[in-house]
This record gives sequence, structure tokens and C-alpha cells, in this order.
Amino acid sequence: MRNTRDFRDGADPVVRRAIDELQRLPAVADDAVANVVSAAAAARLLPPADEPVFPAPQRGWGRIALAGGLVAAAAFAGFIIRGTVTAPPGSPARVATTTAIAPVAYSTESAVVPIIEQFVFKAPTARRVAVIGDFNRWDPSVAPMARSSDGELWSRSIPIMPGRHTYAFMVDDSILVLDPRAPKTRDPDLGAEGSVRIVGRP
Amino acid sequence: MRAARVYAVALSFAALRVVGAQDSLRFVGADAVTSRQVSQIIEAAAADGLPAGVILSKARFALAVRTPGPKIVDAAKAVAARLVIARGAIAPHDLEGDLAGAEAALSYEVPAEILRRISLARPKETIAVPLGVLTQLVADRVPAKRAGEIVEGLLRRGATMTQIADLGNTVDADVKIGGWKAIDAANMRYNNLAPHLAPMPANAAAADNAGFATSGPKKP
Amino acid sequence: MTAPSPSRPTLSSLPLPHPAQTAALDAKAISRAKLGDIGAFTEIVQAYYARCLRFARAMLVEPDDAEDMVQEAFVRLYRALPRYEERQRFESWLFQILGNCCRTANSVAQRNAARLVTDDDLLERIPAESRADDDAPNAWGDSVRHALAELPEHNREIFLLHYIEGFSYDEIERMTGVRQSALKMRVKRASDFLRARLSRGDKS
Repeated sequence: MRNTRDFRDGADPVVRRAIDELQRLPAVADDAVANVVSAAAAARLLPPADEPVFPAPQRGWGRIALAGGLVAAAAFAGFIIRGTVTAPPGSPARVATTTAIAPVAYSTESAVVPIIEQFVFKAPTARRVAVIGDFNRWDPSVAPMARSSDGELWSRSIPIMPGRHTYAFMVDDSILVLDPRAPKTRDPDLGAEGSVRIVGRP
Repeated sequence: MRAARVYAVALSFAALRVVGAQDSLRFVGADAVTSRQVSQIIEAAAADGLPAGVILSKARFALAVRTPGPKIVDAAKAVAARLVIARGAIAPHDLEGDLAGAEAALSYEVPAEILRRISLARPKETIAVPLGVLTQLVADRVPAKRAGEIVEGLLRRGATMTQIADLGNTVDADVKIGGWKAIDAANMRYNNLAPHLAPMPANAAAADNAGFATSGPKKP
Repeated sequence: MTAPSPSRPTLSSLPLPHPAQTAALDAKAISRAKLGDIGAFTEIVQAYYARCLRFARAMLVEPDDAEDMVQEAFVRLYRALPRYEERQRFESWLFQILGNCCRTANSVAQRNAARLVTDDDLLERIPAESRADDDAPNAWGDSVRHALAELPEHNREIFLLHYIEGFSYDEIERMTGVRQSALKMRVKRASDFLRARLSRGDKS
């Protein structure tokens, strides 16, 4: 537990008095907190121009995707595939779902060590969700997600090599949905959109 | 923590064996002609020593978004061609992550010369993260020249990969959430970070000259 | 939804918020705020506003902009909350954002410094409410703040983060990416400067 007094003990007495003075907290205007909260709420309600606004968010969830409305989600995700995507024969067997893993720290800058990245997706009515991206060659069978106990959230932690990666979520083996919490990119060869994550912070 | 770290690394290598293993480079799922053509492109690239998994990823992504067969083949060819250019541009870097990062940058029309400069800025380390940040900045419509200056500037001033990744993610948030123009956000974040880094070596001063332009050059 | 008004901190004998209490607030309020719960976010602002104001006033070239700066930081934080992955301690994330805002503002202020300021401008910028620090003539306080303002920004910031906000070097390294040896050097330079500057006239 952090204790500010510990740091100060090493300092010169004059400096310590200066620190005492500087640590005095200012009085806060009566409406300051309310003004900040109003400004933040107003800013949050305005979506950036290119982000889809999902229908009927509840309790201010705003831009969190409700993939329960699959048609709406698919419309905003920009593409739908119907039927099943079959995994190619010989693809790896399902990896057992993992629970949360502690992040790995780099041992040295130059060691190329994968970083555990967590993906979270809200889809209360889905039956199956998988993370699918360049790190698993867009194979939906590799990274199935685990459902939270309240049924609302899906999550999966995956070791990923540092760099820029594109991905999406495969819902019920049939619908590809972007991550509403992530930046997007439009593939220059295909025109289709994917979610982007830059992996580099352990 | 040491035990946890060893465990996590062991797990990740096990996962890596499962994910993206070289024996799963076969591409199926499209019509017979497309599948065969794409598979040939993949095999040729693999035989040439290129990371053919990058081509497979593009093809499978194309499949997932219902791309017509001929367009999948074109995309696979384009990736293969860019991998060849990438290999030359960032030599001797040859890890898959580095080549994939360079190929992605090329797909956004980043000139190979910029990739070469980044490669030279860190000759002995993986450059997947700076290449990724470069690509994302350009995808956010920062002009390639400026994005390259910023990334190269960070590298030459000793920024860590964490700092570079953070800058990329922060600029993205500035653009998507804060409504900034990408070039302004990129310049601002670079200038915020620069004082904390080592001084720029004499021969690579371009990055620091931008200041806080409120309107940068428009991407053509 | 109206925010309940907290008791106003008075000046000189102000206890710092106990770290344990702030920590208990954070854990639940943050997850609720992540989901868009405005009430939870209000609790967070209440818990940290005074500290943020203190930091911004000490950091900024133009301390009158501190309220705006703190508001800007909280707005940015709120908009970025869905992406907050809790890998970083919330406080250090907050102060990282605030530090960025202040540094940006300082760069702009320095560029604008050459502009002439008329008397009218100066009069308009005095806030209607008297600021907390103005309550009693405080020569020592003035000396300290003047000395602090003379520090180069990067030394000042690390000094504030470490000694005033109580972040460890470990945390500051993670917040800024600067190596700990460099951080300690900055704090030392700041301390040396303050000691030299403040020992001369130290009669209080």
C-alpha cells in the first residue's frame, strides 16, 4: 500500500516543507464535479461520425454491441455470411478454454515473446462465440470464448505476437461481428472491415 | 512471479504450436478453382521461404466476408507480391511478425523506403510493433511520410516497444473517441513523448520538426 | 441524477485521502462506470477532483486553466473507459491522461506567450470565486509555487507525481515509459533546485 510519507522521508527538510505546502488540497467549487460529469456524459452521447449506433442500449451502455439483435448487428458490421464456415480438414483441435492468465512481462526488448491478450464481447443471446483473426488464421475453431456466469459476456485470453492484428468475433458459426470497443480498419484488398489491435504492451 | 512467467510462456508456445502451424497451410472452403489457385500461391510462397501463413490469413478472412473467388485469388497474389517487396525492404529482418507488419504497411501504400528506414533504425530487434503503428497511423489517414518520420523518430530516440504501441493506441483513441484529426493527434502524442526520450541523433532530425500543426497536409 | 455534495475540505489542516479508502471506491465504481453508470463516474470524479486540480495548478504554465484541464481529462477518461482494461492502476491512468492534457496545454501556452495581453484580458481571467490558496497571505506558499513554476516541465511533473501524488518510481516508469534512473535524476534536480531557491529566503 502506497504511503506518501515514506517517499518524503528521504528528502531535505526544506524540500519536505515545500512538499507539505504543495500537498494542500484546493477547495472545490460546488458545481465543479457536476459540471465535469455533465460534460463527460454529453461527450459520451455523441458518437464519432463513423461508428454505428446500436439500437436500444440499456442503462447507458452506449456503444457496447448487443449482438442479441443479430440482424441489426450484422447490418452495422457491414457483412454477413450465411450458413456455416467449415474449418479446413487437418485444422488443429479445439484448445481448451482457459481462465484468466496473468500477463507476461517482456524479459528483454528483443525477445519475441507472445503477449496474453484478453478479448471481451457482449452477446447475451449467442450460443457460441469465437475470436477469429490473423493470429489464428481466421479459424473459428481455435479460440472459442467462455461465457460469464451471468451469461452476458464472452471472453478469451490468447497469446499473441507483438504487432498489429486484425480480428473479429464469429457468433454462432455464422455471423462475423466487429469488436465495438476496438478501432476498425478497412482491408485495402477486400474492402471489408476488421477490428484492429496493436499488441505491444505486456 | 517467475514461476507464473515460465508457465505462461510454456503455455503460449504450446498454443503457438497449435495455432498457425506450418502443416495447416491448406486453403479450402471456396469453390474448387479458387481453392486450387490460392493453394498454389501459398505453396509457391512457402517454397520461396516467405511466411505463407500471411497469405492464408488474407484468404481465410476473404472467405469469412464472402469475397467472390476471383477476388480472393487477386488478394492472395497481392499479398505474395508484397511479401517479396517486404523481404527486400526490411532485410535482414525475417521474422514472420516483421514481414507481416511490412506487408500490411505496403498494402496501405506506404513506400518501401520508409520501411527500410524503420528497419535500419533497429537492426537487431523485431520491428513488428513500429510497423504496426505505422500501418495504423496511415490507415487513420496520417500521410505516410509523416507517419514514417514519427515512428522512425521514436525508434531513433530509444522509445520502447511499449511506448510505441501506446502511442499508436492513444492516437487511435484520440481519433475515434476524442474526434481529433489523426495527424494532429499523432503530432501531439509524439511531442508529448519526445521530451521523455533521448535526444535525436544528428542524422535523423526530421521527426521533431513538425511542431503542433493544427492542419497537416491532406492525404492525396 | 444529482451528485451529493461532499464536505468541503478546508485549507491548512487537510488530511490526504487515505489510499485504502480510495482503493475501495475504485474497484466497484470503475467497473460500473465502464458500463456507463453515470453515478459511479460521479463518485470517481468526487474522489479525485481535488487531487487533479492540485496537480494541474502546479503543472500548468497558466494555472487558471486548471479547472478546464481537469474537466478535459475526466471527459477523455470517461470516453476511453470502455477500453480501459484494468491492467494499469486506475489512478496512474487518470494522472497519465491529466499529465498529457497539461503538457499539451503548456506547449500551446508557450507558443502563445508572445501575444500581448491587455489589462482587460487580465481582469476577465480572475475567477469570480476566490481560489482556495488565496484565503490568507501565504508568503511561503507563494515562494514554493514560484520556485516550482521555474522548474523545467519534465522535472516538475515527475517531482509532483512522486512526492505530491505519491506514485512510486515503478509506477511512474510505467506511466511515462521513462527509466527509473532518469526519473530519480529528475526528482533530484527538482529537489536541489527547490532547496537552493527556498533556503535563501526561508524565514517562515
